[in-house]
Amino acid sequence: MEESQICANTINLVPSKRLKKKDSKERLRLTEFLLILSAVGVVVFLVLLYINPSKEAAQARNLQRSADTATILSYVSSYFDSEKVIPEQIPNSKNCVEFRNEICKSGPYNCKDLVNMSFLTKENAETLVSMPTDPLHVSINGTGYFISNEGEGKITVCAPYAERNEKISFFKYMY
Amino acid sequence: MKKKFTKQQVREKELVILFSLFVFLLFAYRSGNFYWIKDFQLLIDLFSCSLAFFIGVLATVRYFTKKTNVNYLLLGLGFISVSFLDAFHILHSLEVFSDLFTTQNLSMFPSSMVLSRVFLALIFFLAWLITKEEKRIRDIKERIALGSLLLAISVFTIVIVTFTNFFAGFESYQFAIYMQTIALMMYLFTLIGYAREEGMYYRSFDFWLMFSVVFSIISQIFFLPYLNIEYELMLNLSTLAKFISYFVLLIGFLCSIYEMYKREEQIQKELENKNFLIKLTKQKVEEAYMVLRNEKWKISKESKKKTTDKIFRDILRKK
Repeated sequence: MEESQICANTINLVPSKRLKKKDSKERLRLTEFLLILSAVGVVVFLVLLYINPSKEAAQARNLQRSADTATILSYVSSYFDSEKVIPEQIPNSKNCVEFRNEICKSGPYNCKDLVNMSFLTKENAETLVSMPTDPLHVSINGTGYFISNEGEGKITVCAPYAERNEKISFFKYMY
Repeated sequence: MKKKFTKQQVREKELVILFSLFVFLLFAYRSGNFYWIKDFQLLIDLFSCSLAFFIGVLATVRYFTKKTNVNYLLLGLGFISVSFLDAFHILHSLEVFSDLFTTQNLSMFPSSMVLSRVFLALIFFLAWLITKEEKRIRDIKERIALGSLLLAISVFTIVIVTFTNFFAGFESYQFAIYMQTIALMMYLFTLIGYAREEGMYYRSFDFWLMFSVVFSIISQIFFLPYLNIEYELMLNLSTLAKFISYFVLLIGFLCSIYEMYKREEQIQKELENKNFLIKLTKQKVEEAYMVLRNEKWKISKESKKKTTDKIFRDILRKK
């Protein structure tokens, strides 16, 4: 009885050939599992590239940005037509994207170092209900759209946060 | 032929290929918002061209060092030609050299890019065919089947591109589209051929070759308008995949040459060991011979001792 116990312990202490085989089989299984996982990943990304939902969504957002910038510019143009003067709130600068060129949100927001375009959102019936904001850009007070007066009556409105390397910028000569 | 690598090792190599592919596709999916430098394609094409030339020279040298595999010669000459075609494309794309050519850059654009790609695909396909020939595997039926399939797909592609509006909007790229689709098929069949041959069990070079072919296939897929990504991005990714393919193959050739030198070194060592053993054995035999002669001298008659002594002295002096 005692002899058999000793034998069992001894066997447990010495790794047998069977255990080794099991170990290599487990490694093989892990590699094969990773192989299948990678293959599935490759197929998934090929399908994703074929459909490319992120591109579609980015294009939709860019379209909205184009519409927003065009709207802002047209309202500035209508303001100029009625008042015959370029609003002094629009900063003079050669580049559209510069510090202090970002348009401030309409409403109770702090417009320090931002362009306050409240003249477009009040009084007249033909004014903006609210200033449009960039669909993705998260800013407390800014809209994500920039405006500048480049001189000689050239007003530029741009959306620097446009996705997929698209450049969205509209300009108009007021006079 | 005895297998050099175990199933586990081959699986690990396959995992490396698939994982790299997965990472590349992930990068491609995320790359829509990346800022690419202006002349990215030309720059990468320039690197690829130099790599192709280097690979070509290396493969040719590898073949002439040890003429074991005609595959190396074909790949070598193929890559040298591809480097010249790539150089032609680069020169043609640069405005500085526009006076050298009679045709305009825009009129040649996709075709000049397609030339080297189709030629390389053909070289890879031929290299696979020749490898099979060299190994004398009598599977003519398989080769005929793959060849016929390639021909059928080529005809089908040409018909689809020419007579349908499946590729509407790409009329000026018709030639490029069907040539590239044929090249893609050639790469696919080469990959299938190498995979069926199970060369990865026997040679480490086959791993690098398959790695390179996989990235060439990806390069072709990105070059064709099958995926929903911007045209410029598509070309950038295709060029990048082509560069990776060349780079991987270059590593393969360098590894192959390193292995060859290592093997030679090992053989040299074995030879030195054998020479040492022969020397040792020779010494032992001479010693035994001398002991034997000494014994003989001792038991020889007194009158003959003088002559025997002289002979021994001569032998010892020579020694």
